[in-house]
Amino acid sequence: MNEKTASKEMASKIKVFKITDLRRYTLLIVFIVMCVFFSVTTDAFLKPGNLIDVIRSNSISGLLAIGVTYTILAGGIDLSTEAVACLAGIVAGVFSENLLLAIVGGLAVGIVFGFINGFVLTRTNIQPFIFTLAISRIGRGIVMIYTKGISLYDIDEGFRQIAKGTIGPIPVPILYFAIIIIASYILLNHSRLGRYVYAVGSNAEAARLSGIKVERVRMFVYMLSGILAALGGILLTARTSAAEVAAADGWSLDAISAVIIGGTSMRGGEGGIFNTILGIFIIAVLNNGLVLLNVPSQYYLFIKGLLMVFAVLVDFNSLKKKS
Amino acid sequence: METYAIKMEHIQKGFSGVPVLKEVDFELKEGEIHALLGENGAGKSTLIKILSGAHEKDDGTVRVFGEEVEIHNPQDAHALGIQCIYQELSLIPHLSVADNIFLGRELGKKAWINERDTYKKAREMMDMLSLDINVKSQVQSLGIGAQFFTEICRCLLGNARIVILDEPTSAMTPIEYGYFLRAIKKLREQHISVIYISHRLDEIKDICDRVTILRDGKNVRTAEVKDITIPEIIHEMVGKDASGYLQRQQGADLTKAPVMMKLDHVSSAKIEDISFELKAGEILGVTGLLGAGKTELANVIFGVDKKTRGTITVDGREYTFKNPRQAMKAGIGLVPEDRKRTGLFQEFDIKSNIAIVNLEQMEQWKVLVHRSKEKELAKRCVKDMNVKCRNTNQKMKHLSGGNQQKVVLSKWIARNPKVLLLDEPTRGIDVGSKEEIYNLIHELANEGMAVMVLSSEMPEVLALSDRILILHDRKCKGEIAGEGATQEGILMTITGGGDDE
Repeated sequence: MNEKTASKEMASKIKVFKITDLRRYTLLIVFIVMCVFFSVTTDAFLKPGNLIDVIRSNSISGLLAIGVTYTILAGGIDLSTEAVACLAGIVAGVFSENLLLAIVGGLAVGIVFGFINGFVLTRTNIQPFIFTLAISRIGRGIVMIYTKGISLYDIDEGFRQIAKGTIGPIPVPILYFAIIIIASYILLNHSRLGRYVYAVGSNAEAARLSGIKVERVRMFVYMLSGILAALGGILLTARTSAAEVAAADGWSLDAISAVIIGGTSMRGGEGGIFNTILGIFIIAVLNNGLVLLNVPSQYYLFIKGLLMVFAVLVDFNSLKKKS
Repeated sequence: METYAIKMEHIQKGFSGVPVLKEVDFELKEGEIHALLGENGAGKSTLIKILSGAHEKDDGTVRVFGEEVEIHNPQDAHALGIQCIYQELSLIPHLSVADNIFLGRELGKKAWINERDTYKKAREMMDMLSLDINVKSQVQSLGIGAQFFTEICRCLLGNARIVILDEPTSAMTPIEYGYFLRAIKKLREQHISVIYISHRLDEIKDICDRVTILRDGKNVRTAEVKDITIPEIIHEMVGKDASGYLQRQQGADLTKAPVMMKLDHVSSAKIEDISFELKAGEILGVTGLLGAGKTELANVIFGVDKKTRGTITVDGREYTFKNPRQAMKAGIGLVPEDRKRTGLFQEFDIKSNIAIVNLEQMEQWKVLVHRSKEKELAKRCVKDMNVKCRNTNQKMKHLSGGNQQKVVLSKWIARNPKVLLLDEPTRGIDVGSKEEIYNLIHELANEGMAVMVLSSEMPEVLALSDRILILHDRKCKGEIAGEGATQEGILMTITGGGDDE
């Protein structure tokens, strides 16, 4: 394998391909090496209970990362997801006695916020970063005004069941997460709409001249991001049996971190759902391993930061820019 | 004896063995405005780049104010007082006019900028050029004219004695042009010598004292402007063997062919009152100078720009397109002028680039893309068009310009449009691909497609067209038959140098 690549490196074009391929595999290799490392150094890591736990504890926040992946692929970004999740969680908590109303009400929050983001960002030149940040503040603000800062712990038992049960050994949140991953993957990689998301992120002007309704695509990604965030919020309330005013704190940036670590380009048009899943679990496994290794918790942030620096450096394009 | 600001003798320059300048002589008198004319590829820009230090000459001598000099880089040129203003202006859009003028030479002590002096000095410079421009305005809020004058002031501040202007007026409005005329005459009063490059021959008489005409890397004539007529200039520029390409062979008799597209007094914000008919199987060439409205015409037809007046009829039905999608549904395709910026997706592979406008043909269960059909189409396109690539999974950005253009063409042809608009179909691509694309265009027309070739390269239009529409200043200036048309004829129509219109 190595000899083959070496002989082909004469042609510079082929060399470029090799490096880009390498970049894709680097993250996977990092992930596998991490898994192997923790398997060897700790007894607990490979136990099914631990692995399921790692997946479960990320399957609600992971929904936000999937929505954000769409917005970033389309050349935008969504910083409002955590506020949408929190507000949807509160709404679901308030209506928890009526299961249908709780779910519909929660999802409505996502639809409304997604629509506002999409509506404004397709009709103005406002930067998505700043606008969705502002919307995030507004969402959190509504939560504070409505609850007067007091979390709800009186959640209906029936409602709680939507995130509490297991099917076989698998907790249901993992199941929801898996379904959303598969559905969003098919939508992104096998549908016309998904193709248009990439096209708009890659070159909006060329997309327009290819007959794509660019505004409609952008509207779609923000709506989807809002809906997935709301779904995350509803499930969070059900799982924790609480609609907390500070729920999902920091999840927006966590979601974006996962997307970036997974290798999706912030410039849009490059990356995908599996990149994000990889990103989520690189962070998750690292967290889990550090806990199992009894590393003091004050080191976590620092190590996560280093991981992000590494992930960005692996991005071939950001290296190329300098030279 | 007269002083020469520049005297170039026997200048030779070649690129990888191909001679571009062959023993060129060029003289610029002090305080004169000297037009440098020639077709694309005649050697104008190479000569200019030797003066400005972007290229080094292979042989010959350059004297600046009588002294023999060697110009190795732009810094050498600046030190000699030679400044060049290119078409793409290099200003900082968010800074004011005054700040731009003094950029890198800020007035004031140490780290602090003396704003009052900056504005005052900038004001004085504008006054000197008898221009009325608010030096405190942001450059981006001003028109191209004002931006150009800001560049002029920058040059003057750098103690320029020789200024080279590369097509300064191509994007100016008539009012700006008026200011420009006044300003450039002020430069002459300051004993600044100007080399003036323009494709707008009608301006030469207004502006310049002398002209030098280059053709095929040689200077064919230098004359006082008053001693030469525009038809003579055109003749010298074009030479005898005007077109190297085959003229369009009349494929079928077009008199009976149905009209595929008709424009009736169509206007937009950027073009005025354009009418023509395009028949099935016909190739209509559209040409004009830079800024004539060629691309803008294509944009109106394709629904990119809004039509403000007139009617567009395609295959017997009248349309008002709100967006490109509607135009595509009516059977129109557009290969845009700027391939990299608007024609393709660099990060996509070949097959996705081809599929993006053909997804309807490969639908599965309404929403999903049929992957094998996508691959099949891409393979067929690549084979038909002779695209040189490893496979259809290769990314667009790794293809050469010619191969990229073939992919762009093939994706539109795969839709089998009734009307295909090609804006600069061969810009920036190699000669071999060019030939192939010409043959393809002929073939498409012979099979009954209505084709519009919008191009500023006149030999291209001459080689391809059944009829030629000539645009100038956003209006239709004339329409001539492709057969027997010559470059001189087109240039005549544009400059209005002919007797009748």
